[in-house]
Amino acid sequence: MTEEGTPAPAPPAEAVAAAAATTGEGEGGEKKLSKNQLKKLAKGKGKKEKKVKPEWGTGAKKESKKKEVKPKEVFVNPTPKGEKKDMTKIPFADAYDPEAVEASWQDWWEESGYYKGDAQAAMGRPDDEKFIMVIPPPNVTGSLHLGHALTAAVEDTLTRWHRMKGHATLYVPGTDHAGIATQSVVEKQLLKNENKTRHDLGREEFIRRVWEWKGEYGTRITTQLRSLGSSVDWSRERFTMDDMLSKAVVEAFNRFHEKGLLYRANRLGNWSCALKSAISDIEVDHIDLEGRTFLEVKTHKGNPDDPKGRYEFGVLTHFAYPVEDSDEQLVVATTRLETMLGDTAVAVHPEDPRYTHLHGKFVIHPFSGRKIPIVTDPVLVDMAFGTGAVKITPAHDPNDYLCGKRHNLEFITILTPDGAINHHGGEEFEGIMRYDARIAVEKALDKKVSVFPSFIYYSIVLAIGDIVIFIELRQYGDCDTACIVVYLHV
Amino acid sequence: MKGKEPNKMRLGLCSRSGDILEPMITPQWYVNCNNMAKRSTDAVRNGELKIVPADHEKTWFHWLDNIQDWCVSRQLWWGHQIPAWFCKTKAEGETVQKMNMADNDRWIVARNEEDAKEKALKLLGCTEDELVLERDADVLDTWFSSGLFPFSVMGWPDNTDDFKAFYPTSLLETGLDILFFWVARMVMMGLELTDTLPFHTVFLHAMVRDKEGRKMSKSLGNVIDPLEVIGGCTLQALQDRIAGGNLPPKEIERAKKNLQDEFPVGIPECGSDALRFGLLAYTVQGKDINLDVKRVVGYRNFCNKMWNSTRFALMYLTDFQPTPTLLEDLMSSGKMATRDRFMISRLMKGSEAIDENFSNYKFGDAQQAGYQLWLNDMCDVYLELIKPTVQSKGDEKKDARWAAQATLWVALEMQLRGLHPMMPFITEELWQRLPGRGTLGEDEKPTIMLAKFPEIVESYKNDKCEESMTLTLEIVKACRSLRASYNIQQRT
Repeated sequence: MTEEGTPAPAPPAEAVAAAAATTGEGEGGEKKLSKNQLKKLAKGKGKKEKKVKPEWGTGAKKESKKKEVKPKEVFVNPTPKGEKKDMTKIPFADAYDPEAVEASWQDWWEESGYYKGDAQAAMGRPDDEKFIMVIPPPNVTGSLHLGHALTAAVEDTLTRWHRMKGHATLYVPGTDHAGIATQSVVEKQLLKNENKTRHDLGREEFIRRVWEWKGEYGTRITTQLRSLGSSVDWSRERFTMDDMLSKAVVEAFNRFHEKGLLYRANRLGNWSCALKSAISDIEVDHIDLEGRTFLEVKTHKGNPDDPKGRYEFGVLTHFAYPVEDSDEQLVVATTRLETMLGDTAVAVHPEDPRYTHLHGKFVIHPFSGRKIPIVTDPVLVDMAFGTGAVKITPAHDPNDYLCGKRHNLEFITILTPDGAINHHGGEEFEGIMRYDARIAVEKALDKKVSVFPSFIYYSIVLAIGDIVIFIELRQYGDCDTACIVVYLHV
Repeated sequence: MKGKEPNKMRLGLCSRSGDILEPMITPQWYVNCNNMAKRSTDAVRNGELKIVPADHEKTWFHWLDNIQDWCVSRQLWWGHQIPAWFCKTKAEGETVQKMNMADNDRWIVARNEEDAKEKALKLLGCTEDELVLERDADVLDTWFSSGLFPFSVMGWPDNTDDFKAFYPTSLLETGLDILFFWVARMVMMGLELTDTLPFHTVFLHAMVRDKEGRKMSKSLGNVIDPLEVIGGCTLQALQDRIAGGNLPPKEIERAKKNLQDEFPVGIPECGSDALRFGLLAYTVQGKDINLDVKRVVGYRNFCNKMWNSTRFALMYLTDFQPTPTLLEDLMSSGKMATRDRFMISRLMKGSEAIDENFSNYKFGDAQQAGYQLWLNDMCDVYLELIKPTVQSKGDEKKDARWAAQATLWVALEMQLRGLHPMMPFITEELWQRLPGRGTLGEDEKPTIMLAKFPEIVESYKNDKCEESMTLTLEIVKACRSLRASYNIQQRT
């Protein structure tokens, strides 16, 4: 528990328990202790700490040990639903029983209309005499967890406080249809129970099922909010797919369009091949790979080269593009080798002396034979990284996309919506899922015999003042001999 | 092929399917947010929109100053289907296609199919028979509709009574994880569509994590349903819930194991009041709340204490009849002892602390103020001090006894009102049980939730009485400690 920096930290559970026990009416018939003992215990010094700790749970094990613990009597609520508890008829119980205490009030408050916002009364009042708040609408088919309970506690505390101050108060409850989240849950359930996908059902039937699901599970949240005592105006409960709110959505979309703010465009974005949908940044989780890592890919049939069928990630693969009408090669590196099928440029830094002679020239794609321009791009290319030459796949990488826009490159989408290589990727690879294609491309590249005399194997760039020194390790043919080439660029 | 080497990298995963994301170029609908974002940052910069805690303003500016156009379409089935239609003539057939950007001008945005048809006929200049009109199958991003929430729930675009009375709202309270996705979008859309800030204050609370600081996640088994704390839950039931979910078997096992370690005998029944009070205690922390359910459970014992002490106090009040203006009557009675003035003074300051802390969104401090007042000032000090007086039946102590009873009644009643926003149920139940309930005149409310929040009277504060009481308590404490050191038995 981190309590540092707390002005007045709450006492630990034991102390609270000890405080309760001083009246001698603590639960579970704990042995009475003297005040001094209790104080010691409250400070956590006591050896018998366990004795005053509240005992809980209804496990059979415990009951056999502590036979004196009487099981709690089943609470029968004498108050009819929605009516006020009659305190003259209900005796003041010896021990606090939250179930009995909390029963009936919520229903009575609600029934009496105490939660209801009064529009007429609120209309003329100044801002500081009004308190209006909407609930952050939780996912309709979900269930609230303790994080939501904190939200509810804070919000209802504020609402009740303002109401007691005589302010015009309204706390609006509602739920969110939560597009992807809800659709995924229903799809998973459908697969589990009926071994069907949404496509088996068709759109109309699937949507009917989601509404059905909402009907079945959508009340969980309202039950939870009622139990928490949230003083929301239930007569104004809203759902984002209600007619009223859907009307607002259509209106907003149209107004954005009328104002010229809404448009349709072809752009690069996050795509989930499993969902076959664009997704928002909030729906992206990130994992960091420290190096070579094998991962399971659910939409793939499995990597035959790995015993567990996992695929390799976190690897930088180097390969070379032959320069057109030349013996030279340009070596590039990538963590996504399969995207080379959609490469439409190789970028170098305009000031990189190693490549000045290649400006405006082309490399040849090893599979399609496509002519790929060598472009100069000071934004994207870091001279000091790798060979200083970068493959550009404008249709499958955000940085390359921008580079593509800057240089007016071709955008070749090489994947189908479900993540297989399409016809743009070449006959050899068409239909192969993207990470299987990574393996296939690697193997295919391996087969391409290097007939070119040299390539840059390794390079270091040193900058001393205005002087830039390039040190390159070059390999010639299949020969392992390396030589160091030093360029001075002033 | 020139070889491979390990390389550090970051992969983006789809949080819904776990699939590795692919950057793809697809035709989508976008909303240009530049102007809306500028208005949203201006609103914070010029103080019209307040973000509490203020350090989150940085995040606000960072996001909105670097705003990108918002991709609002999703290729899903569940959601608001986009109100846009693609039109062409039958004769054009496959030569015009909706996925073809060259035919982008064939999209029509409309409020309904009728309007769309009308616009299409005008655009194409064809007859109804020749027209092929197809609605976009895609749906809108979920945040599109939730971004309208503060005004769509009030009936916008219609100028309803609710919209007039309740819009703009006062406060938006949420977790800081959706500051951009939800809060910023509400502000942008509110400004653009209603020309008004949808609320003037944003209060962001910290994110709840488990006691080890891990994010709440189903597969860790650390997602607790509030009802499981309110009503209590056996370990078996906790584990059964996990097993009934959609998790893969491996994760179910792990989650079950974690639950077994964390709650070997289940979760005890705490009630809603204790849960709320316990959760509020945690809001004093900074960015993340590492929530230990057991600490929440500890506050059940505070409820127990409230229950027992009220029950005990009511035994002193069996022959007491309050008046509608009891506090004023008491203060002007001239019958009060130092202890009574001390209690009233503490009551004023404690209630004021709760009120001020609520104003400043310091719920943890408000919770502590209420807790200390009840436990330390009323139970440990005041109730002990008045015992001899209230128990005496003689006439000579009649005034002192009345003053003590009145002070006690006022103390209980006012504290219940002060605690009510945090603990609604137990405060209502005990408030209803106070003697004289229902006889206190026209202004008496049928429920504590409509009763006035404690009002502070400056002149009722009394530092002198508090000081002298503190001194007395110090002496008592010193005597007790001396007695203990010399092992002197208490005379009975």
